[in-house]
Amino acid sequence: MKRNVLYILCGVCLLTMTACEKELELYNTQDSWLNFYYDWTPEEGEWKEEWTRNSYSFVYDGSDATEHTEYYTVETMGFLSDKDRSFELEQVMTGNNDAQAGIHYVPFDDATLKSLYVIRAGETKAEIPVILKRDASLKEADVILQFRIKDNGIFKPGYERFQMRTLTISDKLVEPTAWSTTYFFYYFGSYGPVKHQFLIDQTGERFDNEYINNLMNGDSGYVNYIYEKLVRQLAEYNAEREAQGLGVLCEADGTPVVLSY
Amino acid sequence: MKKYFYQLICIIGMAGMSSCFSDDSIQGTPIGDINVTGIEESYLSTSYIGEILKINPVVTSDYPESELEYTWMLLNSKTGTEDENGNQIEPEIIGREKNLNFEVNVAPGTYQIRYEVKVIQNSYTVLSKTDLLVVTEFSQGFYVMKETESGDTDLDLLASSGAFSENLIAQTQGEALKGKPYCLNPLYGHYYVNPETDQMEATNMIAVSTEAKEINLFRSSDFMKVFDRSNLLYDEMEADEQPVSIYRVGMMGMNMAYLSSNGVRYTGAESMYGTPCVGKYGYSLDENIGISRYAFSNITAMGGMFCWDDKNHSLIYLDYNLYTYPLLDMFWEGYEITQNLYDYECIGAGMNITNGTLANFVLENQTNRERYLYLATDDGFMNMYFDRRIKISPDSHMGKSDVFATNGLTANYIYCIDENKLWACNTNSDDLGEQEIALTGISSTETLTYVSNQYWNANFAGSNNYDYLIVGTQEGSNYHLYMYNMIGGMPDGEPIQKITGTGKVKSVRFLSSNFSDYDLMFGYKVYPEID
Repeated sequence: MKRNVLYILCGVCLLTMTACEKELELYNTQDSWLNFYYDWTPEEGEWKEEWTRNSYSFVYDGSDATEHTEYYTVETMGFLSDKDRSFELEQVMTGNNDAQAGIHYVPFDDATLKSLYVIRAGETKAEIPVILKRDASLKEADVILQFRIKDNGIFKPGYERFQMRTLTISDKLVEPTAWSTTYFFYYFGSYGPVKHQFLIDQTGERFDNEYINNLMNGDSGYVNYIYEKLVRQLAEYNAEREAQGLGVLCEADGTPVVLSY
Repeated sequence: MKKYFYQLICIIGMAGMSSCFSDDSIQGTPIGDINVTGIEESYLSTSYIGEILKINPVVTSDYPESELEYTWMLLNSKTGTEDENGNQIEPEIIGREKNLNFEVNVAPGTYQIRYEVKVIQNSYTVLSKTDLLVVTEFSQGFYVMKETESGDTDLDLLASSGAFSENLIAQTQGEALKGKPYCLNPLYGHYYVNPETDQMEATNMIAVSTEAKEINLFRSSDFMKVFDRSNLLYDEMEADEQPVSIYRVGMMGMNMAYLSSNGVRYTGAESMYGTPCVGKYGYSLDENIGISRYAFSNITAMGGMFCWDDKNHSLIYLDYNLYTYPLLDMFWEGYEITQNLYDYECIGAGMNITNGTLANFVLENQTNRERYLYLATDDGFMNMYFDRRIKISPDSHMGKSDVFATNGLTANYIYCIDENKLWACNTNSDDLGEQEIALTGISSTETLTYVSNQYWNANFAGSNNYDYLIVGTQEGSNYHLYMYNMIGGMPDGEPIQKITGTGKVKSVRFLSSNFSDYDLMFGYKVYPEID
C-alpha cells in the first residue's frame, strides 16, 4: 500500500511538471475597430484636437464647379481579413449651421459612396471620399459637416479621439486650418477674410491649406521674403487708399488689416 | 529491493520530464576572442583624385583566417536617419577583405569607418572604428584672389595636399570674373539647392566679388558655381548694387548676411537651430546704408558686425538681428566724429581679439589727407561701441601706407607697408610705436604689396589650427606669397610656405573642410574676414 502511495505521489509530481507547459491563450478576438488615421505618433508630441478639423471653400474653384471631393484615411484595429469589409459614416448634428445631406454633401449612404467605403481584403487602410456639393446657400453662410465612424457590426468605433471629423464648407473665403496651426499665424497674425483676399490678390496664390502647408514646410528664407514683400505691398496699398480718402484696409468689423502677430 | 527499484524508476522518470525544459540560453561552444590592432585614430584623404585609402589591420584570434568574415563600412552624419522616402540610410560597404583599399570618391566631410570582423560559425563579431576626414583639392587650402593681367579677377589655390592651381575661375567658367578684385570670403554651411539631388542642402562655399559688381559663390567640393548676381536674391538684383560679400552672423552663427551697397540681407545658415532654405536673400533690412568691404563679424557680440557705411560715410554696427546702429561711445556720444564723415574714406580695417575685442578702422580725409585710427570694442554681450580715435602722423609709416592688415590673435598690431618695408604699429600706444619687421626669404627685387594675418582658431574644429603672417610681393607680372609662423605678432624664421603665381595678389583666405557650429556657439573667432 505504502508503495502504491509513493507511485501516486510520483505521478502527481509528473503531472505538475507538465503543467508548466500550459500555453497562454491566443489573441483571437474577431472584433475589428476603425479609426481616422493621422500621421502622428505619441513620440512626436501631444495630440492636437484641431487636427480633426479642416475646411474647404469653393471660392477658388471656377464658376462651373458643382462638387468637390475631400479625402480622409481610415485605419483598422484588429486582425486582417481575407475579405473586403465595408464600413459606414454618420453625420453628427452640432445644432450650429449643420450641413444638409443631399444639399451640401452627398449622403454617406448614397450607393455611389457605399462601394467606396470598404477596407479591401488584406489591407488596414483606405482613403475614402466625402463629396461636397456647391449649394447657393454657401455664398451666404458656411455650414459644418461633422461626422464619425458608425458601428455597422463589422467595424466598431476605435479610439474616441480618432472618431470624429469636422469639415467647414463654404463658398466664401474661409479660414484655412493651417492658418492657425502652423507658424504662418506668427507671421501674418489672426485670420480675416479681407486680409485673406488681400494676400490672394497680391500673390495670385490661394493661401489655402495646401499652399500654407507647403510654404511653411518649404524654403524658410522664402517665408521671410514673401512676408516682407506683402508687408510692403500692404503699406503701398494703404497709402493709395489714404490718398483717395478711403482709409486703411479694414475687415468688415472695422479692424485694420495688419500683417503681424 | 524491488520497492527501491520502482522508486528509482519514478525519480528517473521525473528527471526525464524535467529535461523537456531545455535551456537554450547558454551555447555549448566556447567563444574565442578576436583582437584588432593597427588602425589609426583618424585618417585624412583627398577625394576625386584617385587617392587610395589603405588600412592594414592586424587581426589576432583563436579562429583560422578562413572562418573570419571582414566588412568595412563608411558612415556619415546621415547614416541611420531616414531619407526623404522614409527609408533608413544604411552604412556604405567599402570593403569585404581583411585589408582596406578604398578609392576615396566621396563628398568632403567627416566620416566614420567601421571594421567588422565576424566569425562565420557563431556570428561572434568584433567592431573597430576610426575617423576619416575627406577633403578635396578645392575643399581645403589657401585661396588667393588676384587681379589678372587684363584687370579682372581670378583665384589661385594652394591646396592642403600642397598642390598649387592657378586661374580656377577661368579654368572652370571659361573666363575670369569681370572687374578688379573686391572681396573674398569662405562660407561655412551656406544653403543652396543641390542640382544633383534637387534638395535644399548646405555646404561650404567660397564667395568672390569684384568692383564690376559681380559676385560668384563656388561650392567647395568641386568648385561648381552655385550663385551669382542673377540668382542670389529672390528678386532681381538692382543694376547699381555693388555686392560686398557674405558673412556668418547672428547668435550661434544662425544666419548668413549678404552685404552690399544696398544694405544687408540675410538667409539661414546650416546650424542646429536653423531650418533648410534655398540660400537666396530677400529684402534689405536697411536700405539707407551701403556697406563697404570694410566689414567683419564680431562673434563675442552675439554675432553682430562692425562696418564702414559707404553711403553715409559712417561707422556703424549691426547687432545680432542685423539691425543698424551708429558706432558711438558707451554713453551714446561721439556722433560728430563717427557719423556722416563725408570728407573721409575708410582705407583699412581689422579686428584683434588678444585681450577682448578691439576693432579698428583707418579713415582718411580726402581733402587734406589727415588720417585717424578709430578703435572700437564691445561689452561682451550685444553692444558694440566706439572707444577712441588716434590721429595718425602724416610722417609716420601708417600715415603714408596704402596697405594695412591687423593682427588677430597674438598682439595689438596693425601691419602696414611703407618704403618697401613691413611695419608693426602698436595700437596700445598713442604714437602707434612703429617698428620694422624683418622678413626673411624675400628678394630685394620684389616689391611688398600685400600683408595679412590669416588664422584658423577653432576649438571644436581645431585640427587645422594655424596662425600665419602672409606677405605678398610683386615681381614683374608675378606675385609671391610668403607665409610665416608667428610669435608675439612677429614672423618666426623662414617662411614655411611660398607661392608664386601670375597677376597681382589682393586677398588670401583659408577654407577649411572641417568646421563646427560649436565654435560659434561658444564665441570663438575662428577665422578673419578681413586682412
